[in-house]
Amino acid sequence: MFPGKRSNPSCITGKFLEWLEVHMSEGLINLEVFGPSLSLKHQEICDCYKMQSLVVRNVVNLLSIKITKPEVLVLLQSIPLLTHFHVRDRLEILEDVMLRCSCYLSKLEVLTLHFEYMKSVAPIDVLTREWPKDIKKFKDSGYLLKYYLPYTRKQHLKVVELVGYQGIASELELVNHFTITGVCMENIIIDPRRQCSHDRQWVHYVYRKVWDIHMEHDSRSIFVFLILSLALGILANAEEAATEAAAASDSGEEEFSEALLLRPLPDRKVLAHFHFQSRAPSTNSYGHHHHLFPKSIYQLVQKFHLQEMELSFTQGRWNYERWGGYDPISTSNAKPPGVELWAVFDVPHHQVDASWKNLTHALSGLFCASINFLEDSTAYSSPQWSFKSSGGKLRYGTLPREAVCTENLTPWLKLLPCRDKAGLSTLMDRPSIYRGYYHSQRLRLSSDEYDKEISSGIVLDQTLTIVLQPDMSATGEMLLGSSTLQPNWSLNSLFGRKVNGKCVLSKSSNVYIHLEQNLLSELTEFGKKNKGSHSDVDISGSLRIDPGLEIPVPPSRLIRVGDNLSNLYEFPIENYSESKPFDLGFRWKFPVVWSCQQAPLSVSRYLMGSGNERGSIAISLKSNDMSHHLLNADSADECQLKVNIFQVVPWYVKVYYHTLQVFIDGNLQPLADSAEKIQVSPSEDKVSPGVLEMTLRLPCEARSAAISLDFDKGFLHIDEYPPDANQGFDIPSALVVFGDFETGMHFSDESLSKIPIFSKLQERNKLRSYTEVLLVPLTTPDFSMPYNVITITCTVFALYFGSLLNALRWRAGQEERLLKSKASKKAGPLRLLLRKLFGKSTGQAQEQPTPSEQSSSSFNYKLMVKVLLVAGLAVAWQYYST
Amino acid sequence: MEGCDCKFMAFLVILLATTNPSGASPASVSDSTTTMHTNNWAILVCTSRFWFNYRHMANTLSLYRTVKRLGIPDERIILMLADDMACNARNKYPAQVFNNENHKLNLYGDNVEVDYRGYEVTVENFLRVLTGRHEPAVPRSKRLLSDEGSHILLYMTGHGGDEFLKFQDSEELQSHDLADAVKQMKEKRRFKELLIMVDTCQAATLFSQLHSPGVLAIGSSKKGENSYSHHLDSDVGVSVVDRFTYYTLAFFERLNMYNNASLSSLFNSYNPNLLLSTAYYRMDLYQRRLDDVPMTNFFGSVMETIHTDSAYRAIKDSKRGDIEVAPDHTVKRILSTTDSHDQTSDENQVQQVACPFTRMLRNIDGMMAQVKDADKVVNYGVLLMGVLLTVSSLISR
Repeated sequence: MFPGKRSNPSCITGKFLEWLEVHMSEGLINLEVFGPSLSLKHQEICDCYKMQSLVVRNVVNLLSIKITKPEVLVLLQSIPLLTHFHVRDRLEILEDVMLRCSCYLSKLEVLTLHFEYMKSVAPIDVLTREWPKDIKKFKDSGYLLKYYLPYTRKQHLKVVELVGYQGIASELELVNHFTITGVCMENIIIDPRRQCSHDRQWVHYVYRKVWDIHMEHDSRSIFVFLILSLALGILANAEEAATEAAAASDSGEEEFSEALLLRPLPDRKVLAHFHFQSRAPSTNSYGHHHHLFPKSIYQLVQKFHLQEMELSFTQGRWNYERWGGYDPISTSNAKPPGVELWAVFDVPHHQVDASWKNLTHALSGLFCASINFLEDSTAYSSPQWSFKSSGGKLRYGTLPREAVCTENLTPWLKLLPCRDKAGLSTLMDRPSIYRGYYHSQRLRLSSDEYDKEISSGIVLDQTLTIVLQPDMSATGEMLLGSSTLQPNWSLNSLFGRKVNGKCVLSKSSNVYIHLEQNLLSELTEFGKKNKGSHSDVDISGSLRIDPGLEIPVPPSRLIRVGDNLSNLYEFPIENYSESKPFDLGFRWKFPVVWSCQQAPLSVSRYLMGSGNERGSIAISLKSNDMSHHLLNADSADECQLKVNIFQVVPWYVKVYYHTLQVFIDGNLQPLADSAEKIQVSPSEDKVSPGVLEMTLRLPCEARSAAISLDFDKGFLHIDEYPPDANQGFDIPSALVVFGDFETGMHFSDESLSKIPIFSKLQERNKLRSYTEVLLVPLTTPDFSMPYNVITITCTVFALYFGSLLNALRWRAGQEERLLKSKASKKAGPLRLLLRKLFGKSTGQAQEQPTPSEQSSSSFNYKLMVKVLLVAGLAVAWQYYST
Repeated sequence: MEGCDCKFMAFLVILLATTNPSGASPASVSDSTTTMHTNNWAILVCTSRFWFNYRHMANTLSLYRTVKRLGIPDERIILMLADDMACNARNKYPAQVFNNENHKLNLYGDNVEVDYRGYEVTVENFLRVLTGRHEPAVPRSKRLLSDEGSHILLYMTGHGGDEFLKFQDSEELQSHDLADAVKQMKEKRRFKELLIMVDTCQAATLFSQLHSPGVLAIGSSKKGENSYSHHLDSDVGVSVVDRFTYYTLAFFERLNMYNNASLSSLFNSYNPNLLLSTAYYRMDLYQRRLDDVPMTNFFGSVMETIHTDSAYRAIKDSKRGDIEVAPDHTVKRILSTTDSHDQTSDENQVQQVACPFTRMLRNIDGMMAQVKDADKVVNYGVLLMGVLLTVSSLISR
């Protein structure tokens, strides 16, 4: 027993102490208990009001901890046998405790939680996820939570009993959480009896709330028992609690929404752009527990203090000429092939690199990709201003050759609350997605968790952009004798699947068809020719799409995009179900030819030179005749285009930055005239890549511009060559940003910006395009060469030494005898030689053993005597010394 | 005199026992037989890069499908694929991998989780997975988090030869490396039983150096034999599966999780005439009879279930008192702790107590510590040594 007061800091050395109890101690401030040799089994800290911290580490035998008044920092580590854990009073602190110790409390059986000021339910999640044993016992009346976790496996929670249910937001959320995560949930017993006093109306409210939750998840058999005590008093604050709950559900709630945008492309393909957005309110106001927002992403943000992050997996290259280079989708969703990752961290500068390394490992585990190769300092860079201005906390890395396949999509889909089981994501049939011409799966995260003043939480945007080729054979009936007719398509023909209703957890769930400005004008012209005039919106409200097209499902509304005059048709999928799946058909009535809106300059990059020693990189920009009419309106005299170029070059391509040359319309320009700003960080061998950031100023009337850089090819260490080194090495895509141009749709209807896909399309972003990946062949050694060298060297040595030895050992007399015998017996020289050799070897074998035996036996005798002597001495010494 | 000799001999024996590679076996054997089978893990490795080695990936994915179907969850499967075949530009069927030309079964499925792929599949990473020596940043999904009660299936396929297996056409895993890694695993108590299955040419030679108890090994061919592919799919354009794996899969496709087929029935199902090679089993390190071992011990995850009378027995306990814990519970807990540090330190202590030589040394140390005039002792010691030397040299003359 250990009652009483200790001064600060406490130090307990009782090795055999089993029971530690501290009651009403004023002086106890910090307590630390540690050491595996302690036999401490029970520990109780009660009513120590001035206590600040309790640290329990490596106490192997500790079975129970009881803390009351735990407004202290509690840190538990390596307490493998802990079975009983009682905490009373405020639970926010407990939340902290749980997160620090949960992985060590595998044996926990009894947990008592006081439920008084609970604001979030994070510990519950930890319980159901981590602790496999029963959590069962609660005494004390009043506000208690009681839940049984009959032990089978993870998440096999069957009965939950809530005692002293108050109906505040966190409790409702807790019930909701149980209904979502409890796969085998059978009973939720809500018992408001033991409250101080009650209001009947309030009980009804609770009942209704719970019932709503029940109805939402009616596929599972949940029985909600309400044990309503009729002896209820009237309580003023019950009403308060109810209003509070309602308010909480209004303001900071998690949100999820899904959308699919389809757009016919001029080269007979179809663009499908899936957009999913999950939103979590900030931790300060909402707590750690989420039911929609993916936990793994939340933990990433928390652990690495991410401010922004974007990860994209891309296969194929976005065709800027044919699929458009001047719209929001090409700007934000056309990505370089392979994996591109960038992240902005909210940590001190010296920790950014360490965070980045850990982040790459975490992501590689999450997304089944070798993103951990970006950990190497030769693989990532920190662009200063050309990529994104970020104050030096941005890291950027690409893996151009990373394969993208099902295993990357699966974990990405698992972040969605409905996985690919319901809603628009059911369309993602793997073979049809990966058959496409372009495939980019993107995850964009932005968080202001660490911004103290205005924290709106975390926003996770997941987009999948695919370019698909509709099945041409299906359009056979509509050919009309013209080969230029676009193929007809439907969701079913593109994806092989239909949509069976929305994901019930999503706030909005719509499909949109986007018709571009050029296409619309073509269609209108054609319509005018045929009919004279038409209007595509009836006054009565029912919408008709342009006469050139036929879409069997009527759209619910038409959205006009302000500045570039394109049309969006909305198709809500809320009213569809499994029995009545949603399928969107799209038929062309007559052939239309149009082209997409182009970027002012089209960019390409190529290699020059030959041989394995040196070469040069060139980036060429060609005018699309757009820049004139886009810019001339503003400033006719000094019309200049600003172009930012961001290029990362791996260290084994040794770029000489002084050879940078700028050509405009084929004429060499002095660098000072055309370059506004240049920042170069040269590569360092095996340490860091070379980064070039520059801003070019080009005159608007220029038809073409090019920059070129010379480089030498370096040598790698033999260990650094990949297994398929003969294929060549990749130089990652360069990024070209047009500073004067912004993309972003403009909608006249302000309410649209509440729908996440529109708020994304509305964002004003600088126009950007990526160049191709370059493949540089490096000198690759023949890896079998060392073996060849070893073999041939050994042969030469063997020949040399063999002949030398032979020459040295050959006796003159023997030679003479041999010659004589040759002369005498010409018949069998070989046989003679063999016989001689045989005789010689046997003679030697007979002669040799005798002396060696003698010597060895005499040697052994002496040795034995010596060994015995030493042993005897040692024994004697030990005998006398003891 | 005799007593001292005995001590000396005992010391020698202990020395020998600690240096002998399999010397610790009596203790660990009793360990591995007493610990319960806790969980199942599978490490499936395809070591070949390049499109023409499609069949190796199909082999690995066939096994992946089988173990997943028989109940091992994805978090306990470590899948290593050296190249991307499913979304390869040469694959006519994107995101699909077939192991039969009838194309009935898409092995890649919708839910595949590849833990190591492409350039990550190296001998180094493979050995790191086995021995558990990772960088701290490596995520859990890429680690083998097995314990001393785990049954592990290790399947490897690729191109190999006499005592080696090629990784990515540029590195080799030798039989010594494998044996060493397995031995480390045993010492670190990372498995209870390990089944190594290798489908490669001269697979049997890869097992020649193994000597850790609890290891069972199957190879597709003996020394000097090749392992052949089963058939060519003219649509895909390459051979799609190897014979050994094809017939293994043919055996498993007939079974489900509840089947009690034994390992010996699997081993007997290999027909040398169909395989065109002789399947080789190494069973001398394995204690149990193969007839008694259900195949789900390695290829599935079927645990022994213990029935209790009441689901809520814990409630009764709580009536007795808050903190009381039944004694048998604690015993169990102690048995199942896997804190390897503690165990090793315990072992050391035991050894220190048992070894007479170290005890003697410690006694001397203690005596020396008690002596006040250390210099005098040293001086006397030097004199004594001189006397001893002269005496011994006189005798030996």
